[in-house]
Amino acid sequence: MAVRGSLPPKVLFGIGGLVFLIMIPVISTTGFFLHMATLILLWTMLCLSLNVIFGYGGQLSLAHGGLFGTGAYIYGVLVTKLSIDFWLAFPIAGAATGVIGLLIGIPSLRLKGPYFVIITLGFNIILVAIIENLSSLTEGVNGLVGIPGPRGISWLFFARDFSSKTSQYYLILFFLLGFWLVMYFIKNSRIGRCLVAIKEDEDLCQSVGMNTMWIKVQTFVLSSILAGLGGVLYASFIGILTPHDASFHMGFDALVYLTVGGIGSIVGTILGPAIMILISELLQTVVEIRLFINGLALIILIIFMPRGIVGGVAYLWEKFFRGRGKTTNGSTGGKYVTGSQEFSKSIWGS
Amino acid sequence: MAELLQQVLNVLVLGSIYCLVASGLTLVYGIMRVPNFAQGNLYMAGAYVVFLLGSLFRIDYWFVFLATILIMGAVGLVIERLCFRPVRNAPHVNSFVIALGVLMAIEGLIVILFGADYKEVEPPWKRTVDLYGVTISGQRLLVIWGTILVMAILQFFIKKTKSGMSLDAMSQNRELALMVGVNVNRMSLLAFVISTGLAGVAGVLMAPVSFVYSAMGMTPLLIAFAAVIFGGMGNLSGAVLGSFIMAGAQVFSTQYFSSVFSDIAIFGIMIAVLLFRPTGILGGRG
Repeated sequence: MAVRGSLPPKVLFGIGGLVFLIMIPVISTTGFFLHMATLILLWTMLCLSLNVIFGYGGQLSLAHGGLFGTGAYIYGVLVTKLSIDFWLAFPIAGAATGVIGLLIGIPSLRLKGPYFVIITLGFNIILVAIIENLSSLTEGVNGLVGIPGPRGISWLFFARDFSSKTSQYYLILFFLLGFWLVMYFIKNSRIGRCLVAIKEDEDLCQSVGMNTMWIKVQTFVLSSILAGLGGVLYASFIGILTPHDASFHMGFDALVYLTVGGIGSIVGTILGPAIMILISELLQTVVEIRLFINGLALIILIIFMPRGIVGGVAYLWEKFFRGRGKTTNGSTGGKYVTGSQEFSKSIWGS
Repeated sequence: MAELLQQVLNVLVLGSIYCLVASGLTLVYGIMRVPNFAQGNLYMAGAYVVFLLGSLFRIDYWFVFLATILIMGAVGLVIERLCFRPVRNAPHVNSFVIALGVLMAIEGLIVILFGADYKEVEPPWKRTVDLYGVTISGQRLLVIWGTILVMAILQFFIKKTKSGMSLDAMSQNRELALMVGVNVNRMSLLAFVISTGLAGVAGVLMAPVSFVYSAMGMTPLLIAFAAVIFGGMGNLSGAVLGSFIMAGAQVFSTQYFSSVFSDIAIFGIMIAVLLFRPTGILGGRG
């Protein structure tokens, strides 16, 4: 790879992608396309929250569909039953989901491996049962309808009104960028590095005096807040909620999308939902065929390309561009060997 | 009194189905260390095989019984070889995700093939049995007796045959079993085929009792997980005990409170066991 003194390719791709995301309302000819793009951004938020706890922390949580739906329902109940404004309900719902995440995380994170996965699935079932049962607030299985979106901010010239689809798209994109920043900072913070260590060997971390439980709980709560806020935006965009929006199927789908994009990567959180949702729209498929495609994609990817599209592209990039120029550098050459072994074995990036 | 007896019979019927699903789960976990999330949908697939052979092709129930077990065993063989074998040496979480993928793929495939509506399967016996003032359909008695028979055969296989003893040894102490030359690949395959066969049995027994539909596997899966955790993951007798306790919790909490409460009761028990005795009541492995 020739060094031209320019920005690294990663940054260039990032800027290009961002420009594309900002241009979408301009280039989308139909309202349907913009609707799909907004849905993709909302799914990206759920994938992103799962990525924080699973991709960075290595804890496969199946409760995130429930947390997403819980955030959405808390917002829905606040705005429809108590007539609270979006800008007040948004942080309240996020904080409340964080508290629920804390209540779920403290018992769950004490467990490891399959036990953690199963207990989070159990908590998701309980969340759905509670939502279905509190029918005076949530309207139960009938669903909560007529959830209003955000009110415009009169003193902010570009945010006076959120009634159009375009403005809602930009609002959601704005929050998504914020979430990505949070994610980036987590990854590069002390907690992020601790998480990587915990993922590799938790016992070792404890033996050097790291409070692994506290770090995992913090991450889980943060991830719950992100999921809950994503749910709030989902509710405000869709306007109608059913208990299915909190079911574990949401979490399963997010896991599929995240795996397709690349677990542990920032770009992967949007690539996965974008590709899978566009494929199912192009095929005009009903939900069941989508379920089959999702399951098959998950199996095939985990076996052949465990780090998803981002991992696969990074692997090919290293192999064809970076690797050739640096073969004289012994240490770098060695790194690629371990890198490729890591690639073929684990679903996490190193 | 008659009402109580009715509830006890319900517990026995439901517990039998959970017991068959949970035994498969615990067997696979003991050998492969994979919580097989697809087990509930394998039970559902078994019920669909019964629907296909029995209701569409009009084959005799007893022949369908054997054919379903064989077909489901073959399905297990394919799934183990194609999906789980390739990730055996990868970190464990890969195989958890694979199991979730198998769950989704089976459910999706069944809906593509059969549609999403409810199917009915004719019971082989239309008679009902009168038992101390409680009427019970012949098929529900068959569920109980069939489960007892199959579990007895499984117990005999594990305790008396060489392959079965190897399975038992491996689930009790993996390293030691490997050291004395137990073949991991063969045992994984065997455990998985037995577990899908058991799911097939559950499907055959239950198809004439309840409706056959694509989401029928989820509740038994989750309750079987609760049962397996209650008894200790990898522990077969624990799974049997746990299944009947969970069925009891479900039937009686639905009877006296509501069906939503029964979800909360079952997972409440599961979460409490996980927190206070993670190895289960009878002790688990790994």
